[in-house]
Formats: sequence, structure tokens, C-alpha cells
Amino acid sequence: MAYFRHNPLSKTGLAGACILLFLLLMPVMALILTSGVNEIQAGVAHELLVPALALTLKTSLLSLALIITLGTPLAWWLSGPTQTTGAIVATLIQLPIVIPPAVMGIGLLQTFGRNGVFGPALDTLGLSIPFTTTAVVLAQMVVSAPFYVQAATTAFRRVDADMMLVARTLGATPRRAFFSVALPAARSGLITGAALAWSRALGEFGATLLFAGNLSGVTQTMPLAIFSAFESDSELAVVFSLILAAIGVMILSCLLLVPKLRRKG
Amino acid sequence: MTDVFQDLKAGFLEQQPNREIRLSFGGSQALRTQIEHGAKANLFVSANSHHIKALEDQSLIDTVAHFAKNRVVLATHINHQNRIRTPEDLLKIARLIIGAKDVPIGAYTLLVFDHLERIYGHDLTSLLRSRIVSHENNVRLIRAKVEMGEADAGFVYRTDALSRPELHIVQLPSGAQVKTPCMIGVLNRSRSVDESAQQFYHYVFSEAGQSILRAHHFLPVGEK
Repeated sequence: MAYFRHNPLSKTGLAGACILLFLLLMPVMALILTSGVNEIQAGVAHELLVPALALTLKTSLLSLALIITLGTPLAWWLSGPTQTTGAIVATLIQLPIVIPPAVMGIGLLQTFGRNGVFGPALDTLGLSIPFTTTAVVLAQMVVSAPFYVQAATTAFRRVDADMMLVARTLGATPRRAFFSVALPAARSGLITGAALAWSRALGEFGATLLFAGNLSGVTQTMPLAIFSAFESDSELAVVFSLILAAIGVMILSCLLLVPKLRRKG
Repeated sequence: MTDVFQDLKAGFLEQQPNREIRLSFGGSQALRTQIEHGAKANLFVSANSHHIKALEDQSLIDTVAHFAKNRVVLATHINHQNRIRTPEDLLKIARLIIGAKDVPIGAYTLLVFDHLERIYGHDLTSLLRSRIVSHENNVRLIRAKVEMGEADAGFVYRTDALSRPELHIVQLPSGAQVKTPCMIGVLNRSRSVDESAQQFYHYVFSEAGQSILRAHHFLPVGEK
């Protein structure tokens, strides 16, 4: 269908689109243009890089796995027939998108911190979450899950109700109908949502800074390493940012391209 | 610096109501980068001699002067104030927060550790180091986490600890005291000399300015 579409732009429309493209791409281009080979080599060899990169990949992938596991049933329920509870929940889970991540970090401290709502209970179990890698994962989940749930809900809403009905009349259990009809039909929407949530988790900064702290190898993810590097050497911060951006682009394009290629093949 | 400079501005404007002072706060490195990229500032205040020096080397700063002193202290929540009295009590700290080594408070804290190591030996300090749970990038974050009780103690500036009733200062031995300079530099970025900025610079050193600094627990430059 894409081959037959043609969306011509007026001159003002074209100018507007170009201005926005320039604004979006120029800062990244400028970062690339201003870093020399020497700076990049120094950045790659820096002691903070490997632990931060490994921690970022580990925690963001773990967050993503948890978000998909817990968020898919939630999105499936939300995509059901409109009801007041569902509408309220759907609005409430968007809150972390609007609230600044740093404030979410304080909220997490007040929930799981020593003096937080569950602090004493966790303490009797001998558990302590702030300043641990678990805190990093929780911070990432809170800020990025809404993106997945929102995209997944939209994708599930587009699943043809008749197809589900046919599956059920042919004797499929609700579970079977979900896994063999709804899930494949919503796949591309789910993948887009997962990619969005994962990239948000990769760049998570504010909530992590407040809830998890900043310790190399334990809680210092790439965004925090970039922030720390900036205090000593702004060039180093630029190189770290470019490395994070490059990895983000690579993994995201794989994630988004693979299903398309597979469909063609 | 944030609170005291807001008060200094208010005090200055009371004396000279027709002047205009605009303050911009941030980490020393962030402010330095802004100045290097052409921010039209007249004065630069920092506790970090490294960034002042870097701007001097690029001939972006004309003159630099010390206007006050501060000190690195160990702050705990007042609920813990009776727990930590002797050097051995330092090991009761389960979660310690310090500044990252590249921010001034972190660099000064490493000096305190050096002094503590000289006085009490390597074992105590290496145990203390193992209790560090976070390297924060500014002193306000360290203070907030100690205040909230998430950390047992943190190394902060004396001024930051004294400005919060929830915080208690643990006495460090005199050999482990680290004094920190507070510097103000006159930038030459703006071609025309700004009269308000010059007057404000002098106000910081005046009796009125120094008494505001004292009220915020800064130590006078002359003090040993």
C-alpha cells in the first residue's frame, strides 16, 4: 500500500518540516563533528566506560523484559471494552511521562527508601533497595513502562474482534486465542512500544540519580557516567554520549528492521 | 552558594536599588563551559580552583580573589548524632555518600580521607571507603540523601550542614580538617565594564557582604 501513497507538501509545509529536521539532527551532527579521533580514542579507553556500558545494557534489557512480561497483560486488559476503571487506569499510568524523572526518583525513595512507605517492612526482611542495581532497574521501569503499555494497548485495540471470535468458535481457549491470534496481529505495535520503552530506559537519568545514586559498576549507568564525565572533561562527556547514541541506534534499527525483513522473506 | 548569593543580591539591591544583578547557578564545570561558549557573564564564583585556573589560562578571567572560606565536614542525621563520637564510631556508618572526585566537594573529601589515613591508619579508612554507596555530583544531592535518612552520613561543606536543622556535624580531628577557598573572578568577556557587576564585586568584600556570608556560616578569608 505504501507504494501508492504520495503525500505532497506545500512550500510552507516543506519549510516547517526542514526547520524541525534541522533542529533535531543538528545537535547530534555537531557532537560528531566536534569530536576528533584522539578524543574518541581517549573516551573508549576510559575506565568508567566499560562498567557503565555493561550496566546500562544489563539493566535496560532486564527492565524491558519485566515491562513486557508485566505490561502485556495490563495492555490487553486496557484494550478491552471501554469501562470507567480502565479509562482511569489508562490515564494514571501516563503520569510518569508527565512528571519529571527526578521527581519520580524522589517518589521511589519515599516508597522503597529507608524512611519510605515500605522501608520498615523491607528492613525487617533484610532488604534495602536504594543504592543498588535493583534500584536502577526499578527507576528505568517506572519511567519507560508507560511508553510500552500505551503502544501495546493501541496495538491490541486494532486486533480484529471478529478474528478473536472465530478463533474462539473454532474451539480455542481464551489463552490460545490470545497467543495465536491477538499477539501475532499486534506484533509490530508491541515491538515499536518495546523499542520506545527500551530507548527511554537506556537514557534514564533523573530517577536513577536520586533513587539509585552514582557508583561505578553498581548504579552508574551511561547517562550518569556522562554526567560525571562532564564535571572533569566535557569532551569526554561528548564521546560517551556518542557511544551511547551509536549503540542505541544500532540496537533499535535491528529491533525495528528484523520483523520487517522476516515478513518479506 | 545558591542561598548566600541570593541574600547577597538582596542586600546589594537594598543599598543600590537602581542596579540590576542576574544570577545563574550551576555546577562549576557547567558554568565554565557556558562561559567558554560565550555566555556574557561578568562575574564567576566557584569553590573549584581548577575551573577558575582554566578560565584564567584562556584569558577569560582578569582578576581572582578569595572572598570566604568553607570547611569539609561529616554530616549525619540528628537521629544518629549520639552514635558517632569517636573515630571507631565512624565504622558504624553503613552507608556513606561522598562527592564524585571531579567535583570540588569530592576532591576535598579525598583530602580528608588522606588525613584520616595518616591519623588512624589504612585499615579504618579502607573500611570506611567500602561503606561508600554513591559518588554524587553535587553537594546538595549528598545533603538531601543524608537528610532523608537514606544514607547514614555524608561529607559536605560546613555551610550546607549548618543550614539544615536535621543535620548534625561529626567532629573530625583537627588534623583532618580541610579548608576550602571560595573564589570570585572578574570575567572580561563583556567589552564594556559593567558598573553593576563591579559594584556587586566590591559589595561581596564589604562589611555588609561579609556579614551576610557569616550569617550563612562561611568563614572569613583571614581565619586560619
